[in-house]
Amino acid sequence: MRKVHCWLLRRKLSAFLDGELPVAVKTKIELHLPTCGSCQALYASIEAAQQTIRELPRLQPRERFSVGLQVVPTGTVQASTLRVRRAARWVASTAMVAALAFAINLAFKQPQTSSGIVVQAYALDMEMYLDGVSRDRSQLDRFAELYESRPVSLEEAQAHVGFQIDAPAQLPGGFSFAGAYLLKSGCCHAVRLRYQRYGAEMDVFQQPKGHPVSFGSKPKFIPARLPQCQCARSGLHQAYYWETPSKALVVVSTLPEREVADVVNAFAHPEQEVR
Amino acid sequence: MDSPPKPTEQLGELFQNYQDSLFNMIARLIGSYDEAHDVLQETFLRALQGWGHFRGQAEPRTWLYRIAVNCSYTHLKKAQGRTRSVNWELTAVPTASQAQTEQALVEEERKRLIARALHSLKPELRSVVLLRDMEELSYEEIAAILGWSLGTVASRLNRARRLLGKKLKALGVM
Repeated sequence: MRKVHCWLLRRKLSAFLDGELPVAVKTKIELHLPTCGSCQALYASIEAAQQTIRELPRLQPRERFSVGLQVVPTGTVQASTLRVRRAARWVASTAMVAALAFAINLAFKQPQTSSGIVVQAYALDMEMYLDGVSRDRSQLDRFAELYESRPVSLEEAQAHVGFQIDAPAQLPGGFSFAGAYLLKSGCCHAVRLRYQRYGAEMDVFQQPKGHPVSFGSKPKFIPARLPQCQCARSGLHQAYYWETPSKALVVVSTLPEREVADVVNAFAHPEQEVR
Repeated sequence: MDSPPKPTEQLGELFQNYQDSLFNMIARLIGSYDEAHDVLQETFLRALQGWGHFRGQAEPRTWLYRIAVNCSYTHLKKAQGRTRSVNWELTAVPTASQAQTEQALVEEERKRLIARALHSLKPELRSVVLLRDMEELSYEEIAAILGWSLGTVASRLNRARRLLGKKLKALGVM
């Protein structure tokens, strides 16, 4: 009980010292202080702190400001100061907008291919890098591909690449051709053929032979069902890689490996009838 | 026929009357004698700019103190990022005769320690102590200057003095 009483009164010792308390509280403290050693000590400490601060000498400025201010007409000072501030604010905001626009321009700059087709940077989920110089992650990042924002016709794509594009209209599993996308990757052009069926997609990459291919950041290589092929898995995606005398092909899909192998087979042996 | 006093003249009179008090409060609050001149100047400039809008709802002195406290806070906020040496020698410049005596040196050291203890408080606690114990303003005036309620003024003043007492004891001043 005594503790609570002390705690309540201690919060008011400073106001008690300043005489800022109502009479009732003041009386309570006056009655309590002589009976409680710790409260007495605290009060003495507060009082001493107050006295000590009062001991500090008053500081004075080196010069007086009033004369200088009195001779300056208020309107002039106010208007000129406001004008300067407004101009500074305008310059600062303009500079900020310009810097922001420059940064946005840098971030979303759209490089152009030699034919003037606008391509845009595109981050691949499956981290498929065609024309990568090595499997080293930092190297590959520098060769991040630029994907086209719109599909082009097969004729247009063919005009840009140095190999014959194979693009059957139909693929096993009910996939039909949905569009060709030009890829600009470093020194060569490649093409991505998009095939679709209800609820599934399949990409067929084709590029000049001799350029290394990497797939995913940590691909897991699995035995391929087909000879002369490599098969890798990264995340949900399967990739089948093989080469013809003129080019390299990669089929990428989230479908089971067997279905992917059927597609590869259709590309490798186009003379066979599509099931 | 007497013309009504011009606003600038009224303000000039206010400056004349209160600039020493304002300077003392600012210097103790920001902890730098030199920089206090700049803050005082900024205070006067802001007062001059706002004088046309001042409707006399508060006491002119309270209004000036409020501007000074705000300018000091702004200055402290700006100074947070940079290395800033606190001028502990915020005491009266000792005269030659004073400095010669050992007693004067001891007294100087004591005042320096008090200034250091004061500066170790948070700005809001420092300001309430300064306004009350150095400027001897009432709780109502302090509440108007700092924009607090009377209860807040009382409780923060109590906390500030208790903390100050502890610091002074730790520094061996009390």
